[in-house]
Amino acid sequence: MGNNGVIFLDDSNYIDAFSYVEEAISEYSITANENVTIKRCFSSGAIPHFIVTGAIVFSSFGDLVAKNIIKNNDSSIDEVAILAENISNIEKQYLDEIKSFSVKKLNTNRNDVIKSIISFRSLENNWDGYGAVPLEVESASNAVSFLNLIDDFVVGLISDISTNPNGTISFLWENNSNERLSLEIGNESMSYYLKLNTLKPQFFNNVNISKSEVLKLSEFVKSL
Amino acid sequence: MSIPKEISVAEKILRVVFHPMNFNSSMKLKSNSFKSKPGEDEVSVIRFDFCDANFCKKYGKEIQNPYNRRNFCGFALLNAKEVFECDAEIEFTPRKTSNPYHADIKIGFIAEQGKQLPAEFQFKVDEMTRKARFYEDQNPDSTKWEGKENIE
Repeated sequence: MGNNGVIFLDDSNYIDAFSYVEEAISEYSITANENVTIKRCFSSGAIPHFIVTGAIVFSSFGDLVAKNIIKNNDSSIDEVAILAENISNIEKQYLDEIKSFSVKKLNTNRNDVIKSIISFRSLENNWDGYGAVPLEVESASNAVSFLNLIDDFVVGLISDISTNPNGTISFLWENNSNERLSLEIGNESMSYYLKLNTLKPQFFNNVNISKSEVLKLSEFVKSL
Repeated sequence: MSIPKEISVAEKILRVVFHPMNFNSSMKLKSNSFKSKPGEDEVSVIRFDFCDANFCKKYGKEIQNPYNRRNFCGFALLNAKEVFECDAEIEFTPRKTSNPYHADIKIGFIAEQGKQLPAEFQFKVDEMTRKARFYEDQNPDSTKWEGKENIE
């Protein structure tokens, strides 16, 4: 693997883009030589918010490694075992940290989302028992247009899709800290809000389903 | 029992919910559980303090439709206080013959067909949904409530 997406803990000058998604960790290796080199490889897809978190975790990880660094080639097996155990504990701590921030995903793809939209169209009147109408044709069409404007990464982060009693459709992106972006698409436009734990909710109403607006929304999703 | 028109903050407010349309894949309530049909600002609920779970289940089974993805599965419960905290109101709207305990949650906006809710009202409904506790009936086919006894 090349340098892209690699963090060398013994070289603080090089921290590149990494994803916080647990599954994206693609390689983990330890090389014991005159000193210890820990290398983690991540797929690309940086989320600035998590770089800070990652840096904090790796900082403590680095400290621990520094304390246990093996400088001599003839170091005992016990020392290596202790070091391995410490690394394992930090690894677990790091993964727990990742889990606490990761996005609740449907693990869906574009085709699955389109199937959901079509299935909502097939609902009958009063589908909720309280007088709901089925998803409107225009709202469904706008939802497909919206899907065509977001990238696969943002599609994959969708947490939930639902249709509403008044014939519109909603999408939700949410992380495990309950921060979320909730979007409702109607016959003519879309409205959404962004709720982060440290800020008051931000509201965006009657937004056009255009490339620039969808890009802006996508950036919010990626910040979760 | 006479039912006061005014709804106290401590009252339990119950919404009958259906599977699968009101749930996500993790059996978490979706916000569409607390959204109104077009042309109205009314989400039908039951004043649970004045009836019991068997009545609510019977009511739910009367409006279910298993052939249209609408299977009775349990209740979503809120305290009136939690509704008020979401800047919504509850109006007592009894139906003399079918449901004398009927009330409506009003969010202050009439939903239009095909028009998305303003984001501020989406947020209000989402917050309400997140506060709601789901009580599942272990045997929806039976006539009696078979979920938790303490619904609170």
